[in-house]
Amino acid sequence: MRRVQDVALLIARVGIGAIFIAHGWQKFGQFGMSGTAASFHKMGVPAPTLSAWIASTVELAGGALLVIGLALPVVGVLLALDMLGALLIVHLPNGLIGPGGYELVLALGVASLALGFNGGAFAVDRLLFERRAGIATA
Amino acid sequence: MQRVRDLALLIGRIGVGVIFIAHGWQKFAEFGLDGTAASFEKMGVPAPALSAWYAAIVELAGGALLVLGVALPVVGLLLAADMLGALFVVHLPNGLIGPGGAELVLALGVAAVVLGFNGGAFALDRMLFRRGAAVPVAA
Repeated sequence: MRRVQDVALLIARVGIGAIFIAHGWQKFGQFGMSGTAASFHKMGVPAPTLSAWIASTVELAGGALLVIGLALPVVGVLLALDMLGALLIVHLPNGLIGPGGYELVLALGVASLALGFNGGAFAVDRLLFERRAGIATA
Repeated sequence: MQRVRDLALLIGRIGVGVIFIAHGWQKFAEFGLDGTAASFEKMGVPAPALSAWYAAIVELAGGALLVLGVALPVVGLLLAADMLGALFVVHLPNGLIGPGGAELVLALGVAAVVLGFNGGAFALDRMLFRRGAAVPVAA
């Protein structure tokens, strides 16, 4: 059963991480930083340029770290905060489901948080640190 | 630390469960099962009437059970199968992100399966059965 749990955690980290990587990559590679900042500005995101850099970096690097399972608790909290901002500032007025709704950012945010604190055995954290929780207490 | 981990799992179950409840409720109450079946047929879902029932019940009841933490491994697999169908039949041709993309059903599917097998301490399963994994092994 423990192995099944660990496999489920790995599958979820890969799935959720890949989605974040795609969004971070889209901001860097497709929209560009100025494009992302302009779009953030239009959505009413505060400090749009800084926010664009933070969102792109956290999504691209955080997504990759979520997949490999490195620094999971920190990464989970950062990704959850990124999604909380998107939820409160952009998607909440559109309701939960339907066009522009907040279901996607809610699902990604709570999944990041849950996986950040429960990464399972197939994570670099676990290889580096022996403790199950995978927190680097140095 | 264990408490933080359990709390994160509870938040995950509530967030993901509420999304499934909303979709199941929408199929029953807003679209109706006939409307859902008609829409499924247009999307190319096989056995649209049966699939509409399956999706509506699994999403509404499964979402509620995910929140409560009852029969979690079974619920997680049923919800994941529901999302796997939506992924392959409907969303995959639209790519991962962007309009109609697979990202939402992918996120919901993997979250359902992971929370199904890792529900944490704040789940009714844990209160009913003492084992951590919470699989009912038929007393």
